[in-house]
Amino acid sequence: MGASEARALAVVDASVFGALAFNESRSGEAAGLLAGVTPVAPGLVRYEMANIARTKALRDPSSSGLVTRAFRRWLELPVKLVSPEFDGVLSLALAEDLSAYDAAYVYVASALDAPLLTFDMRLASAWRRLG
Amino acid sequence: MAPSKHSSRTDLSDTTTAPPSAASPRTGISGGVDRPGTDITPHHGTEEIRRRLEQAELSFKALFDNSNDAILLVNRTTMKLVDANERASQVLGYRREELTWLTVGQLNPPTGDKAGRSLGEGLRVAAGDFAARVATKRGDVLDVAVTAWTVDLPGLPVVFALLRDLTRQRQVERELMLSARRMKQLFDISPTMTHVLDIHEEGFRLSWISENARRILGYTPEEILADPTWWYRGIHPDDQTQALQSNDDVIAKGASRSEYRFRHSDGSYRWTHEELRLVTDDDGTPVEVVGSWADITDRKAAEAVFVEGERRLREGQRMEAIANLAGGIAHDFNSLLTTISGYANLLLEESDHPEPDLEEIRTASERGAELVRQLLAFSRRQIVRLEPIDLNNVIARLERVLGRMIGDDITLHTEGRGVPAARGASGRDRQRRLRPRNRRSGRSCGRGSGGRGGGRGPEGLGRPHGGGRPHGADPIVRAPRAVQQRDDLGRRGRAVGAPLREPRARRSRLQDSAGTRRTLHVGVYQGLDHARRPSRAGHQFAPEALHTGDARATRTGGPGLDPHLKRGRAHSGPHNLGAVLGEADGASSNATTPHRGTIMASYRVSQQDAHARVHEADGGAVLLEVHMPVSLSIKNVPDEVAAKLRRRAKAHRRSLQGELLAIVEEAVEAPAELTPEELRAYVVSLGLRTEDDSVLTIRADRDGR
Repeated sequence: MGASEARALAVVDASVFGALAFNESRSGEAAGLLAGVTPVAPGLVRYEMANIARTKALRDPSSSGLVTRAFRRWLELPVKLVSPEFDGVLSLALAEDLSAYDAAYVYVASALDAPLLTFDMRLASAWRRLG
Repeated sequence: MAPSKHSSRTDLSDTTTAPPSAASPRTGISGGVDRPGTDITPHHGTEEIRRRLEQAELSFKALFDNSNDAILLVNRTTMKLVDANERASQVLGYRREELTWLTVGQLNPPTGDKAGRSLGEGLRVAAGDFAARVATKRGDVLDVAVTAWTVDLPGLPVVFALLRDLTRQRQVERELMLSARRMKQLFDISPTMTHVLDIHEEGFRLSWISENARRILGYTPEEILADPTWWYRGIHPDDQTQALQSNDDVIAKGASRSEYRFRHSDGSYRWTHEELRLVTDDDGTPVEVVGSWADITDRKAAEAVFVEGERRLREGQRMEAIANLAGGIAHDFNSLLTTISGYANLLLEESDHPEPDLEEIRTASERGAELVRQLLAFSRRQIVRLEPIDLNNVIARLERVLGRMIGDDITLHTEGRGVPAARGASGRDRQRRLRPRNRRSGRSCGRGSGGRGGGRGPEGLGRPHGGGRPHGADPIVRAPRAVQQRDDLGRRGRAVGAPLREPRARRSRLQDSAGTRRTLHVGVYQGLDHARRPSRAGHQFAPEALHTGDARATRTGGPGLDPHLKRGRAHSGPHNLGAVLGEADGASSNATTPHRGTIMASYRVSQQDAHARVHEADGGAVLLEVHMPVSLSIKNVPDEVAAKLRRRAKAHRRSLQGELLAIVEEAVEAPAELTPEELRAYVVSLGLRTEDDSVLTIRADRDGR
C-alpha cells in the first residue's frame, strides 16, 4: 500500500484543482486543503479541468503555453478517478435539482463518506444540504 | 532318326482322342511329316526316303532341342502339352517329363492376374503372334511373346507354340519409362531450362525444350516449338548481338555461354544465363546443340545492391574523412571563439555602461559556437539526447556521492536561492526522459536522476545570494586538479558537443581565489546560450543571454571565495550557479533579470570522470544532468543469493554486473508521486498566474450542459 492510500480520502472538484493548477488567488488554500489527503473525483474532473485550461488560454493567448504545461503537470497529480453509479447520480440530480455533474461529485462523496472540497458555492451548498 | 529319349512321352496320339496308329510308333513327330497315303516311291527309293526322313527328323530335333526359345507342342483338342524343348524346361521351371503331364491351363497365371491373357486363351483362338503371361513352376509370372502355328496331322491337331521370354525386356522398358518420368520431374523442378537445338543452314531451331519453361518464362513448350522466331523475338534488343554471338561460338568452339535479357510472357525482361554445347557424331559432324538456360535476375539484382553498397561505403569513408577534418578545424576554431566570447563577457560584466558592440560580439561568437557544436556533433557522429533532471536532486546527490570521495576537510558549497521544492521525476517524466546512450552497451549513461536528496527544497539548497559562510550540509568538493569545465554546451534537445572553455584568465583567477590547489571548482562557466525572456511569450526563446554560474567549494575553514568573485559574479545573478538556481523562482527574478529558465551547459569533473549538463527543464526550471560513474560493491553475499543473481543475469543475457546495475536502476527510479504543494511550486516557477475563473467556468459548464 502506498503512502497515498493510507491517507484520508477527499472528493475534490475542479474548482479546487483549477485554483491550484493555474495559480489562482486561492492556490495556496487549495494546496492546504489537499495536503495530507488522497484526492478522489469522478472522471469528469479531467474534462472540467481541460475546459478551465481552455478558457484561460483563450482569455490570454500569450499564456496558453504555460497553461498547457500547468495542465499537463496537474495530470500527474495522483487523483483517484472513480465512476459513480449513474442511475444513482440521476436520481440524486432529479431529487435535489442538481446538474448531473454536481450530482456526480455529491454522489461520490456520499458513497465514500468523504468530505467534498470545492470552491463552488452551489456545489458546497448542495453537499451541506445533503450532508 | 535316332529314337528320341523322350519317345516314350512323345506319342502325338492322344489316347483319348486318336489312335496311335496314325503316328510314328517311335517319335510321333515324324508322323506330322510322314503324310499317310502320299506315294513317294516313284521319286526315291525307300531307303533313300527313309534316310532323308531321318535326316529331317534329326535336323528338326536339333532345332527343337537347341532353340533359344521355348517351344511347346500342344494338342489343340485337349490343350495338353505333348512335348517341350529344353529351353521351355528352363523357362518354365519344369522338367520336360513334367511338362508333358500338364495342360496349357496349368501354365496360366494365378487367378487375379489380369495383366494379360493367358497362354491357353491365346492358343485357343488361333495361331499367330500374341503376348501372354505364363506361370512358372515356382509361381513366377512371365511375360512371353508367343508365335503359334498349327500342324494338322490326321486325327491329331497340334499347335506349335514358340515362347520368347519378355521379362527382361519388360524390365528394361519399365526402367526406361521410370527414367523418362524421373527426368521429366527433374526438369520440371529444376531452376534451369534445358533445350535441344537442331542445326540448320539458316541457323538453330529449337526441337525440344523442358517443361519448366512454362514456369520460368511463362511459355509452354508447345508455344515455343510452334514459333521458330520465338527465341530471337524474346531477346532484349540491346542484347541480341551477344546472344547471337553465343550461337556462333558454339559451332566454332563447341561450347559457349552468354547472359542476356529475355522477355517473360508477362512482358517483363528477365536476365538469363545460357550455356550451349555442341553434340557431334563419330565423325565430328555437328548433329545438334544442347543447352541450359537459367534465370539470374535475382543474382543480377543482388550484384546491383552490392555495387551500390560499395559505392555508399566509399561515400561514407569520404564523409568520415571530411568529418574528421571538420572536427579538427572546429576544435581550433572553438578555442578562438571561446576566447572572444569569454573576454566579451568579462567586459560586459565589469562595465557599468558596456558598449553595445560588445553585445554584438558576444552574440556573434555564440552563433559561431553553435555552428562549431554542430560541426563537432557531425564529426563525432554523436547521438546525444538530453533528459530533464531536477537540479536540486542532482545537487543533493552530488553531495552524497562526492562526500564519500573527498576528505573531511573539504566542503562543497552550493549556492541557491528560492528554488522550488525539488522532486524526483515522476513516472511520466521518466518516460519522457532522453538520455545520452552508451553506444556500445546501449545502457543509459545516467544514473538515476530522481530521488529525494537531502538538499531537496529551497532550504536544502543552501544559502541565499551573497550569504556568508556556508552552513549546514554544504555540498562538497575537492580535487588536486581543478574541474575542467568544458564540453557540450547547447540547447535543449539538440546534439551538442562544442567544448567551450573558460577564458584562461578567468579560470586562473577562480583557482587563485580559492587559495588552494585542493579547491575544486564545480561550475558552469559559459555557454548558457539561450534564455527565455519572461516578458515575452513563455515558450519563446532568445539567444541573447549568456549565463554563467558556478557552484564553488572551499576548504573548510579556508579563505572562501574571492570577494571579487562574490561581488562580480554571485551578485550579478546569471553568472553564478546559485543565482541561476535562484532565477528558477520566477516570482523573484522576473523583474530583475531576463535570464530565466533556459540554460544549457555542462562541465566535467576530471578526476571522478563525472559529467554534468545544465539545461532547461520541463517548465523552465534549471536542471542539471550529471553522469558520474561510481563503483559499488557488496560484501558477504549469501551463496544462494549469488546463485539466484547469476541465474537471473543469465536469463536476461546480462553480465553479473549488468544485472546488478539493472536492479539498482530499477530500485532507485521508483516513481514518486507529485504532491499538491509541488504542483503549486511548479506552476509558480513557470510564472503563471491566472484570474479566479475556474469556478465560473465549471459553473457555466455544469449549468449549461
